[in-house]
Amino acid sequence: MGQVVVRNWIEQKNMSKLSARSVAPAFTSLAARAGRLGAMVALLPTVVFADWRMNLKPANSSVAQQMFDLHTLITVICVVIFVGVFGVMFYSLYAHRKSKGHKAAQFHESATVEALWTIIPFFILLAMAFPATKAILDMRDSSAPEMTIKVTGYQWKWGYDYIHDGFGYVSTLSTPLAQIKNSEAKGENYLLEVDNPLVVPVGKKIRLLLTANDVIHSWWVQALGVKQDAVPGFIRDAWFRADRPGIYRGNCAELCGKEHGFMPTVVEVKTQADYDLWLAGQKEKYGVGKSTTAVAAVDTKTYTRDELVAHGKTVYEGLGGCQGCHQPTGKGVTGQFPALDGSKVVNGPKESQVALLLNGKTGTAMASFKHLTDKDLAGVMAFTRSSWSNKAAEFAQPVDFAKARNGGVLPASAASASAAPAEPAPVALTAASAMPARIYFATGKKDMPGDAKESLDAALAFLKSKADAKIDITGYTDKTGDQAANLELAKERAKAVRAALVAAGIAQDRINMKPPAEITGGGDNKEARRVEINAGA
Amino acid sequence: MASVPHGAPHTTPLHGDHAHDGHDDHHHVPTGLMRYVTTTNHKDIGSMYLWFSFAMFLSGGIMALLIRAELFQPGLQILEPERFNQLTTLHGIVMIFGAIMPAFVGFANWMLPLQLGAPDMAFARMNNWSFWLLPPAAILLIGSFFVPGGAAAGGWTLYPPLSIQAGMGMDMMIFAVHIMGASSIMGSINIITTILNLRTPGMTMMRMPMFAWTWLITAFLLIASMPVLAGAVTMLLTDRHFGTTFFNAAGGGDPVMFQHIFWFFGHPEVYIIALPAFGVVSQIIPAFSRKPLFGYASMVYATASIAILSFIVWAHHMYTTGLPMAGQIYFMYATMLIAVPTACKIFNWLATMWRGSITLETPMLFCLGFLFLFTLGGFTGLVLSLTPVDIQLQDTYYVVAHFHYVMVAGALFSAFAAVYYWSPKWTGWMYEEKLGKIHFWWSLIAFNITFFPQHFLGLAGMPRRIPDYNMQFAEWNMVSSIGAFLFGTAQIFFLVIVFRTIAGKSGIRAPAKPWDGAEGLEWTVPSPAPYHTFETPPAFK
Repeated sequence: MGQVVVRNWIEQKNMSKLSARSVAPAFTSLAARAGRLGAMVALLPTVVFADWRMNLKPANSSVAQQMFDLHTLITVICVVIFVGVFGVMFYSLYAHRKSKGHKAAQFHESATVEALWTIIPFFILLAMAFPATKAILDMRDSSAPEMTIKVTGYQWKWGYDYIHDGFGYVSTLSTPLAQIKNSEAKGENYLLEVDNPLVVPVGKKIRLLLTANDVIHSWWVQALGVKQDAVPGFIRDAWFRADRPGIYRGNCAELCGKEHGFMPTVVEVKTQADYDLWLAGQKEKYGVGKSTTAVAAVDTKTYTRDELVAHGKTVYEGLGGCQGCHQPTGKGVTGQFPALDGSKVVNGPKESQVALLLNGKTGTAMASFKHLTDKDLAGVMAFTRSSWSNKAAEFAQPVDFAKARNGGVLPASAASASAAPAEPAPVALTAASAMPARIYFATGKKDMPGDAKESLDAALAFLKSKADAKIDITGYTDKTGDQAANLELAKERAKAVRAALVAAGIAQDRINMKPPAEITGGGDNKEARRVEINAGA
Repeated sequence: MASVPHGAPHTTPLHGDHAHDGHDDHHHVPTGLMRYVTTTNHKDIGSMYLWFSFAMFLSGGIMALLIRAELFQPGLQILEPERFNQLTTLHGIVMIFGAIMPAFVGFANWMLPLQLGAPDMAFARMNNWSFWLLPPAAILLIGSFFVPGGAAAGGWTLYPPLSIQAGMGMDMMIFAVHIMGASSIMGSINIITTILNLRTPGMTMMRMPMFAWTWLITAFLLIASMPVLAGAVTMLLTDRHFGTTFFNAAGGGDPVMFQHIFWFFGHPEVYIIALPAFGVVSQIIPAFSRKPLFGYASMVYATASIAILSFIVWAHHMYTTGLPMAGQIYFMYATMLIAVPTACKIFNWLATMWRGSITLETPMLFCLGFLFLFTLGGFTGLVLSLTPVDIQLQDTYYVVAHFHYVMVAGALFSAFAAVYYWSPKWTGWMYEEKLGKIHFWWSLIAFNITFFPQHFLGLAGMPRRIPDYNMQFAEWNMVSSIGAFLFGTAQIFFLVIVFRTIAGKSGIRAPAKPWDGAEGLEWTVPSPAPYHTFETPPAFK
């Protein structure tokens, strides 16, 4: 016990340098004083036991700091009481022994003493309850977040959706199986490393919305002071604001099945500038803001069955692969995970297996695997259809998955690519020259900007191409200025655009003025100060 | 003071069936196995409970050692993760329902009639049935390792939806829980009736031995909480096989509702395990301090308050599930309150020792070990009661350390104390004092080597129920595993002590009252206690 406390004191002292926040100011000075004493006493064990961790990790958020301080406070109180009570007991065992000739007194019952030892603990508890309640109030105040991320627990990985930025990805253990099976040296972050960590900017209040796909999981990063169960069918929330950039590691904290111990939660906290760069890269990677036709090229190659089987075997047997549940033997686990060997789906028509792999099966552990590539999925399918006793003649090509993802038709980019593979990909039209067209205004201004001509021409071209075509015009502003003024400004901007189009010979009844859902929809930049021209209904 | 028991004083249990016992043995005197199958004698049934519990204790212990062997170092060595989860699950269920609870029912069976001056338990045939329900349950539990899919692997808390995914091992577990629950409820009815109706004239409620008081309160806890568990597992069963959706949001249910129901049973369960232990300690400490219990009445009131409070704190096991903030605050306050009556008890035991005339025989040593470790476990419980701290520690090894300090120190150490204290009455022989003391120190030291480092592991961030871990946890895990094997071998040593005591290896025949400070009617009958005792109610001063 002594050593824990000593370490608590040392870390407490270090921590008070890092963060001025403290649950109980009166206690901080006590702890600091105790820390100086503890540091001397603990010097030797600290040197000898450099890696024998004994305390909570240093906090990286105000909530985690309060948890840390509260734990230190109550541990110190408990140790003091413990030493006091057992001091009395050991004195009694020493002094009141029969072997020392002590004669037993026969007293019993004393209302005063019993009242005292009921009331005093009660007041000690009150003293603990006060900072604890304060910390709860803080911990649960997830209001006014600056960013919201949806977290989904799967057996056995985490899904992160940046719901306002339009992309999401899956985060899976990246420790190689060889390390787990002891045939390779273990790395420093053994079992606490993932392929895609959750990335957040420093100093921003991040709200997590948590749910799960199959069973209950618990998202836990100690340094950020968040442990929240993710319950299938329900949304829970939690929040944190990281104080310093860095990588913070934790695990799933609720038993979630076979690979519960292999499901780390890793958060990378970046500076705002680094985060913005990362965000831009992700948007690029996931094709956010581009039309669906511009998404990464579709694999239209026709593979041989052997090629797909060989590739599928690596996926099936790889990390987080199908064998985790369905077993290397394909026999599954009776009552839990169905056998693939002899399965009706695996030996049946290819469409139903394609759909199962892409969409999963509700109410079971079979999750959607649409985050895998078309080739991975086709590989798994070919492998399962050619292994064990399975000998299904039919198998799917990657392009079948691409079609299934796209509602049964080949995505346009792949269609054009396969129709005329020699031609370069269609040149993407710049946002300003195509419909929907956008016109960007200067801050606070409602005059048509000089560079509006291109966008106006796009709208005119659209209207002239079809006699019955109509358009919607919607004005927006940035966050500068008060709300009433912005409402007016947005309307004026839309009117200016309408006037320009009418001047170019468009009948006013073909132009619909459509109010925006949110005036300051796009933050505080040029993008926000726009008028949008969309094809009307 | 005591009535002279009917029959020969040195009747050995094997030939203990007399003609006057013919209310159920009208043909012949049963011998061999049939004697135990058909017995209605509280002493036979008590012994069977104790042996059953020890067998389960060893099975659960082997599971624990397999777990600790896997955790000896990082990486997967001897167990596949699924098997590991099965072992942690079954270790919990087997130890709680198979080892600890039957052990205290065994003590109750053996000692309550002797302490109250009753000839037997109130419902002797039901007593037989409550015991014989247990072996089938044990077979279901242990046997589930060998069915396709293996044993239940969702943790002893059986949380859905994970437990709904599981194979037929889970159904066997559910059935076993039903059977053991029925056994506990019948045992409780028997104990309540015996205590309320069969006390010898003159023994008022407030003059009963503390062990009877704590068992009376425990029995009410059992009757109130076991049906709740039975309901919860039945809902699991229908969700698994009959298309209900109690715990499935897709059908309008809620997985977290299971946790509420489970812990409404689960928290009283903690006190079901702890209260009889408190009763044992409240009898042994005065005996070896040669001084009456400091506050008898306040002990009774504290026990009752703990029992009542135990029904209104269940959601402190669920701080991270997303309770409303008001819920977190309420359950934190209610949980902290339990520290008050618990502290009263600890202070009471201290005041009993204070200015006594203390000797340190093995039963007393185990009680002191209990006091020391249980208080430690109580303090970590207080740490965990604070919601913000619990957020960091929930489902980590800190919790594992906490409840082993409470369960092993609270229940197991006092069970050992009870065995050493009452074994002269059971066997007619004194145990070997030196061996008993070695067993105590060996257990105490090994226990702390095993479980104290787990506090550090939990604080440093190691989750529970994982078969493999990061290198930063390697050192303390290795220490803990070494401790676990030491602790396990200490219990084999205990078994040897028990056999040697039964065989009379100490060479010291136990007198009727082997402890000069002991109080109670059980010490007025000869040792070993004759097969039939108190056929006429003894006088009570």
